[in-house]
Amino acid sequence: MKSGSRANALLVELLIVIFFFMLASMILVQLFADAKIKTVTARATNSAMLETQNLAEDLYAAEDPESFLTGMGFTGGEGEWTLTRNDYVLHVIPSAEKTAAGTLRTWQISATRNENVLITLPSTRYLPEEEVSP
Amino acid sequence: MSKKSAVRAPGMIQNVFVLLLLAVFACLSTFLVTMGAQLYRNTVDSAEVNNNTRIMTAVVRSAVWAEDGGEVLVERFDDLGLSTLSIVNDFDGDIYYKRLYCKDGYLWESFTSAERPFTGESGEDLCPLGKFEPSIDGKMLTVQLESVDGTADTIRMYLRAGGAKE
Repeated sequence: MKSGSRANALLVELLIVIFFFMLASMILVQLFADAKIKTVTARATNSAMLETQNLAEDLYAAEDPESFLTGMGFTGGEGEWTLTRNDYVLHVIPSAEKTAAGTLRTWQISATRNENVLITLPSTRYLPEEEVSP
Repeated sequence: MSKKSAVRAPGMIQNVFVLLLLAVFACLSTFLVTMGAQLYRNTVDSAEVNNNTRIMTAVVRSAVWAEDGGEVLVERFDDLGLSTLSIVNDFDGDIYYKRLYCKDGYLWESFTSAERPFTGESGEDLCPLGKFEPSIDGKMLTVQLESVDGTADTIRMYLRAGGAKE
């Protein structure tokens, strides 16, 4: 009888330990999942940053930006151009401000992932109507 | 079956159940620790790759932007086995070369007078780097970079103030 009650006590103790272990595991697994998501997001942000920087330079240099974007695989038109990558989506929003002496051309380049904006970078170039002599 | 063994059977079942619980507990805890360790390693590796990429691209971009007023050219030193991205600046008639190059697994930067020959030893190492291949097409500077872990990246920069040597 005595050994039976000792075994029962051990069983109850073990069940309590496993219960708390399960609670701790649940929290840890949630933590691991969050860490994984943050790692993937950081990697995507890094790649997006490099690509948006290059794109900003390319758009600055491009003689015909629309053709350049089409060649890169962007789709869209006047309002917004988009390109879907594995980890993020690139958006390019063009705008132009005309002045008497020329045009200020701006490209708002941004990368989004699951509707969250990872990075936004403007690319601006002033195009004078006539060549300005130095 | 004797009376004695019939009494012992429930106790044995309970013992087996306890052992089984212990085994499940051990397996789960091992699995959790292994998964956590693996995830931690992945996170650290990924952070290192991201850091290396950011550092090496930031170094090249900031070096070029800081000296963009100068003449930018790609030099090849076949005797040293080096290909450098060089920015030439004129300071009151004295010509100085700022060179970025990859040597011994590091990105190096040197700033020397044009009167001194380039040896590759005169600079300082900035960050680990596997490969550094600059090229210039018109005013567009392209640098192919590869980190020590093999991650390849490309930097494109349009040279604004200064310009490439035609």
